[in-house]
Amino acid sequence: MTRVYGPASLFLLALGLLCWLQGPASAEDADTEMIVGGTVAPEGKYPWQVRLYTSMDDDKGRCGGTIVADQWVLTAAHCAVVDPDATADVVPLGAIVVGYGSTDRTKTTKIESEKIVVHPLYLQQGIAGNADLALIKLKRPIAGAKAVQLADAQLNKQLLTPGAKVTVTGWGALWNPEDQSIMEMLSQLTAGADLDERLNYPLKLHQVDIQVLDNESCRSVFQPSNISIADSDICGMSPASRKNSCYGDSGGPLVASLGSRKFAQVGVVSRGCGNQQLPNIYTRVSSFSDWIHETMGAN
Amino acid sequence: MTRPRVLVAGLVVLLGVWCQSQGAALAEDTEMIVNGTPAPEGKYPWQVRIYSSMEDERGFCGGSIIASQWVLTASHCLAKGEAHGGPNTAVDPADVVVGYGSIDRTKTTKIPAAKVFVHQGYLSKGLDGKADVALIKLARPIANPDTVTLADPETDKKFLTPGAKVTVTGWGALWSPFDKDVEALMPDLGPQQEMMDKWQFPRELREVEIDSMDNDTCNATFQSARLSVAQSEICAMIKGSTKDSCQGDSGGPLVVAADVPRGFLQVGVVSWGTMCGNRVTPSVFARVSSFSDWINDTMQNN
Repeated sequence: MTRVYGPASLFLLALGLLCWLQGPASAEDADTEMIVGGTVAPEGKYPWQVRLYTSMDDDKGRCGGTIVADQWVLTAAHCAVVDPDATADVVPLGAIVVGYGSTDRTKTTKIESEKIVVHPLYLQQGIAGNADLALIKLKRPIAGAKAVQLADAQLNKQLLTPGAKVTVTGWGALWNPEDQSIMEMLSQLTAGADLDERLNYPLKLHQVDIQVLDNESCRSVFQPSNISIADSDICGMSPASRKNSCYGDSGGPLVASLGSRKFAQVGVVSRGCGNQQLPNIYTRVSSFSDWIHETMGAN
Repeated sequence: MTRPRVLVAGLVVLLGVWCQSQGAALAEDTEMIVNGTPAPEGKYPWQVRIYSSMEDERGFCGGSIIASQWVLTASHCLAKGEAHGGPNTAVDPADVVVGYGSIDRTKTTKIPAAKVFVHQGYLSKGLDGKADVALIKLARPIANPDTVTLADPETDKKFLTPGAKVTVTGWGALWSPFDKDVEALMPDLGPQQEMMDKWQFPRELREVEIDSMDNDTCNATFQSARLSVAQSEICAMIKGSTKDSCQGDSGGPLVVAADVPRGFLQVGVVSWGTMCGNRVTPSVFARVSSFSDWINDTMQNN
């Protein structure tokens, strides 16, 4: 797993904030997010969760996503472009393979993409456009697709009160690779095993609950490092804990409970990794309702 | 493993301050070594493990052989009651067994305790008494004991210069047992119980070298946490490093290289800290030389 370097990520690197791509995969070798401090997700609890792979043979993948319609997957823009560090004239990937239907990333059913549509603000400015969002049209519809409900402005307001509990899911890294403090200890426990593989590429989907941080507080946290938090971003973290998404979780969903095992997707994993001091940043789905529906309608 | 009663106090709980003993037995936590390395067999032959019975293979604290029939350890390893305050009472010697002669805690030679002597300062005030030292008289002497030389006020001053390299040894946890994020990782690394055991109860003795710190600097470090150290305590850490003692190491020796038999002088006894591997605040040890008279008198009169 290599780091994302480049002009856009200079500040981010200083803070240990990276785009959360994982993977050997593409030429770009970008990092991705994973779940820190979470637990294995039960099969069937998050049926809209997908893994994004680089080919039909890839079984690791590098990002997450969600089924939002039978032929459409929502993910992060930085998961769907050639160079996640580009800050202008960003080029979308030519193709992505989407896997669904299992919490085991090696056992998903795979479908190739027909078309990738990255949000225009991201194409112009990269991550600084504060629109880390992309849609993937699949080559064929998923039969009996279990699409997630996307939060609209009203639902967003109702669900995302400061401190509200939200859940992130993904196959991303289980520990921030920059936090080396426990690596020596873990190597004692797992002598002989491939620790890096286990930490960075968990086989099973993980889930973790975090809390929503209001944007004003989040702005003040990131202000010293010149990272701007837009209204179209959601910040989330766990008090006094590293619980959060991490490399490899990017593009996956942040959901809020609607009760009786129903969820609405409120965010898309964008930046950050399990850190006790810093929140992670998610793209606010409701800010892009129109773009999502227009894109699906026009393609 | 239960939380130490030490953690009951308000501020202390917030900071995760604990005594560094482990274990079922006394329902007190102990320290272990964070980011250390395995100790070679025979390098620290005075190191003992303190168990709760002849069958116990885990143990709950460390200690050191200071005479053929005497072991030095921490009071909080051998007392019940309020760790911050008092009164405390010494445990029944029938629940104390000392093991020596191996770096593998499951392979030590065991001798039951005949008597335990907890310092009066700890009995009346707990850790606040700043006298976290205790003695165990063994049921019989160890033949050809590998004793460690204890510091007195003169050798303490001579060898424990500020910043001097000091070494802690113990079978304590490899990382704070209270780190929930690390706990959450365990099922992904292997069989959960096996991983937890390896983390919190390593089988082989470990050593770690850290830097001693003068008490004024140490007190400044603890000020915001409203904690303080006395002259009868020693602080040590490497700033910015996670090298540390931890739960299960309590009672074990802090030594400094010195021109004495076997090359090491015991200057401290593992006592307390705030979250193992903490990069900001040091670990605290009872200063052996402050208790020279008490140690000598207790051994002579018993």
